[in-house]
Amino acid sequence: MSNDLANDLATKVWQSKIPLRLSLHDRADATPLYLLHPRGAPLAAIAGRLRRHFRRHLENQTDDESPRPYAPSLADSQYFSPLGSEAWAEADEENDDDEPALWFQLHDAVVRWDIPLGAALDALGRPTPLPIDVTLHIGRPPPNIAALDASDDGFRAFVHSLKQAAHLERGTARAVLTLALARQRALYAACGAGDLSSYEDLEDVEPKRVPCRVFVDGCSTWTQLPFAACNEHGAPATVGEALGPCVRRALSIHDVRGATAVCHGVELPWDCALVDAWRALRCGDHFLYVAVRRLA
Amino acid sequence: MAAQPSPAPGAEAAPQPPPERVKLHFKAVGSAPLLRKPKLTVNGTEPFHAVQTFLAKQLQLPQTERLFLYCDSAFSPVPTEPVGHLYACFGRGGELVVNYATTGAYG
Repeated sequence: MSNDLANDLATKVWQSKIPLRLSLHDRADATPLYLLHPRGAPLAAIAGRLRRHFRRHLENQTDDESPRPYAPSLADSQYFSPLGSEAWAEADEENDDDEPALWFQLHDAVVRWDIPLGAALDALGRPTPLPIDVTLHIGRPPPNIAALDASDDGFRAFVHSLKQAAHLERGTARAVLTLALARQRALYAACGAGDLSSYEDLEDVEPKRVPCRVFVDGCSTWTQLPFAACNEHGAPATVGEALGPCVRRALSIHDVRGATAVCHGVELPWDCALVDAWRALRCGDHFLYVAVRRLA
Repeated sequence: MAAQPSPAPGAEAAPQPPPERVKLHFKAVGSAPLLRKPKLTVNGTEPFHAVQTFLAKQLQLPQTERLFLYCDSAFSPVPTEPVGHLYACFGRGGELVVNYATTGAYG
């Protein structure tokens, strides 16, 4: 794949937006919020806008309905917790801690707010009429689902994700650890706005391993494994070579061609070089999100 | 994409299945209390938040004290991520290093 083609694809991916209608669960009197959401941005990126739009209804919640922000088993995770780092204490103080936490639902599935919305839709794997109806819940989330806390805008999850990606690419997360907080914030803001031109990326390297998260239909979560950029012959590994064993195990099939891989809403060819797909189609957290399901 | 990527040492295109058992090496950061047994072997399918729960019990921290966990002195993983996957991605020398602190660390 040429650099020009990869850049064109990246530009199109970043410009891609999803029409959403966000409505409040069990509150018919709340006016839904319509917006275009960048495919590569997590729902958490619009937390502030959602809280402003539904403020009147959020304030009306009684104490009994107010949730703990996180499911008990996730309550101490720094990935989600607003107390995960003293570095963000100043930003946290700007928020109103009395506001209830939120979580999102699309049809009968919970939508994780910390991964790109486009990836969540690919994982859902159903044709959905536009605008996509997302229901906003105020209340206790299902087990093992983290709600979006009042003082959380998804930034921490983004940075921890970016560090993991950098670690896989370079063998160390130093490239992100040494970034100034303002620069980390700017990266997340660009990602949330779907603005590639203001996304001041990390220095480009030939990745040791390709940061890739795979959702296999029927599994409960995304799988993150160290996918090498090259095969055993030193040639760039194809998507099929890299993801094949994981997909075959999960779907109990003998050939990956019995399954389809989807990235950003389009089918990803199994014979495409994984590192090329990663360069062109990765999200702002440097992960390539691929949803795989068995062909009918 | 002009330059060909070089293979990572010992890497194959397809990752090995995550191990069934994973050795964790807990390392205290800052003023965090030390563990008598800093190494522990756990089931690879356990989610990372189970490690957090286990460690909090082991350290018997007062309720006012918080516990911060990181992998490889760098990041906090997705709490639902299986420990076996984390080992496959970030394990070194046959173990996964888990740093713990009572105040935030590593940004």
